[in-house]
Amino acid sequence: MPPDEMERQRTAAPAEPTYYPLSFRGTAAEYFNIWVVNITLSILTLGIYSAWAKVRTQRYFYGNTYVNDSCFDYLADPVAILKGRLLAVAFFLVYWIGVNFVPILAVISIVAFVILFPWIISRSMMFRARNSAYRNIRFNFTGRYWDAMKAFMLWPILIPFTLGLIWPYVQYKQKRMLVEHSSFGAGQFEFSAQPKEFYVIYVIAVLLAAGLPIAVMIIGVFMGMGGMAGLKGAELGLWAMLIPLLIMLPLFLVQYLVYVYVQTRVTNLVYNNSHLGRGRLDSRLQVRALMWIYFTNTLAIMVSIGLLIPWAKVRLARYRAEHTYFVSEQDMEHFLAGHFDELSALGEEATEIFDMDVSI
Amino acid sequence: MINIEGYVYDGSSTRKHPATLLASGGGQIKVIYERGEMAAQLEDVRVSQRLGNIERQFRFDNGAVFVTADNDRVDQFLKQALGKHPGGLIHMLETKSRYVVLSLLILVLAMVWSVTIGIPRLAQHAAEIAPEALVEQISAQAMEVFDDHLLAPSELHPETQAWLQQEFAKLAADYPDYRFTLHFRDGGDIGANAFALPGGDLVVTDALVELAEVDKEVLAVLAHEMGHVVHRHGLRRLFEDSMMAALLFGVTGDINSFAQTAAALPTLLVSRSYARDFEREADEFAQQVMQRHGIDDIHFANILSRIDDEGFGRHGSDFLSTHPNTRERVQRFNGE
Repeated sequence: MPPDEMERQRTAAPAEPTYYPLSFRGTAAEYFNIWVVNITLSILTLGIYSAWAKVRTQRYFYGNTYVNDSCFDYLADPVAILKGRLLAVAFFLVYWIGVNFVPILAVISIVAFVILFPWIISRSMMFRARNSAYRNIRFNFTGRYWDAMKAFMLWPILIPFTLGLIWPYVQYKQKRMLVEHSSFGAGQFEFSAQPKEFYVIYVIAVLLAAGLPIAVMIIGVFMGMGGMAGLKGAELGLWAMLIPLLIMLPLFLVQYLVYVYVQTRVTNLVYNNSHLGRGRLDSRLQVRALMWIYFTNTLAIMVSIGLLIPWAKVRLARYRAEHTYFVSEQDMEHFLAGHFDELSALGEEATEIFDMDVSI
Repeated sequence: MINIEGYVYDGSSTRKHPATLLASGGGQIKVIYERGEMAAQLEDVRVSQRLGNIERQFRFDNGAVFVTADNDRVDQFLKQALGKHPGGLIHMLETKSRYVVLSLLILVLAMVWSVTIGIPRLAQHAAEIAPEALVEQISAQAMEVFDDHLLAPSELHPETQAWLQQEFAKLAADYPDYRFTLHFRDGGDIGANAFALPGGDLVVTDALVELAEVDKEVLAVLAHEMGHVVHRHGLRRLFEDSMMAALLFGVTGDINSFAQTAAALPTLLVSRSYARDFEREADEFAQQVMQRHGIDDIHFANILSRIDDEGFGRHGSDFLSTHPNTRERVQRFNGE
């Protein structure tokens, strides 16, 4: 260490925050075995075991995620998850029968779903939070029906009337609701991001979405024309067929890039503005690295007919952990316990069946 | 006596207390840490199941936990105290390579079986027992959607329509159990095409009728579509697709949707090949009908090759996209 660096550290103010990096200690080989046994037992038990499989998977990923040399715990009861899952499947079955055979049933289940939606979201968040712990202190989520209703149903109503321009603000509202109703032990999370920071992300996304395709198309057309200059007849026909492909493929990639860009930047923004006591999260995910991971993961999964799914999941978990920190002016020993009662898993499992993403 | 090093989290704060767990062969447990000690019988303590190498927890009645990374020692103690496989049955399955290989084998076999045999059979049974009223309803709804979005009223000469209706009625008369109805429509972009709905509605586009050089060619196509109805292919397809989606969700339910689509590719390919089996079945059915009504096989072969020529370079006609290699079918109908 250079002497001036040492000097700087020694004279730094006592409130200088410490960076506690997260790390992931799981391995693909270990998780592969767990994954295979999970799926096989789920099949042999006609899906019943899937609730236990889920708990084992979650325990594996939580239990291998470390910060300050202690890991997280996932404590959910598989029976609660099984009950929730059965109810959600029953609901989905009614909906399926409705859509395909009895339209009125579909209408009823959609109305029921809309009414239940805020409840499902708040319950789901609560179930996940209360079953997550660090050093024997649990997380909690205190958002209720009305909070979820406002953030996930009322605000979004405005989206079509504003031509979508309000979406970044709506997302800000949603993330704020999720973070501000989260707590760890007796400590409440606070949210400090500003709406304009969400807008900045989307403005860049729109520029990317508009700019890249134009560039791609210009290049594509020039390449196409250059290529065609010396060709005749059948060869020309081939080129005519290839050009749309040459344009469409990059367009699809651009769309995906924009999607990953927004996801990554929003995650960083939300984490970096989530405060707990005198600490906060610090997320340094990089769009380029994540693009590469998603792309190669997808390729690997396709080539291996799904057998590399465990490898892909572990790899992603490791990248995410290694680029997240908890920054605190205090040590990690002072968080105090909170208090609450047990509850059912219905909400969380219903959100899974209907494929909703309510992560922070 | 076994000593296990670890930490105590007492549940009141995140403070980490270095601790030692002393366990006797009889199942008595004592945890000693700087703030004091806890003692209990093993049966009153909840010990988490072993999973990979994640930390083991001993949860005491007072809400405190003792955690340790020393899984092997914990297993050794549990084995002495309880005398059974210490990590739990599932952990044994997850760590012994022969069980993992066995699981993998079962998994692959189960997947292959359900995709190639299980689901198609189940779908077939479901299609056979589906009540007639429901089938009618599905068809009526589908017809409505097609008419609203895809098809326009036919512009064929009414006489042509009447003549074909009359000829078609002769074929349909062989199957009094089915309510066959022939609809003529202008298909626009879908070109020369024909399809059947499960309830017995057959739709033929004007382009197909115009493409046919003789009426018998249209009748041959209609006989093929009747085969789809009699074999309940539409319903089977609906059930199969739903079941495939459910299976796919079951297996890949916990990975992100982009990768999920990737994992779905093989199933999609298989489902394409069912479609080819369906076409073969409908072709065979058509051959029988045509034979009974004195329509030469060559007519089906002719219209197939013409649709094939016509369809090339366009968006491709539905009648062909899921269909087996046209040349192969033409050859069959040519008796080669």
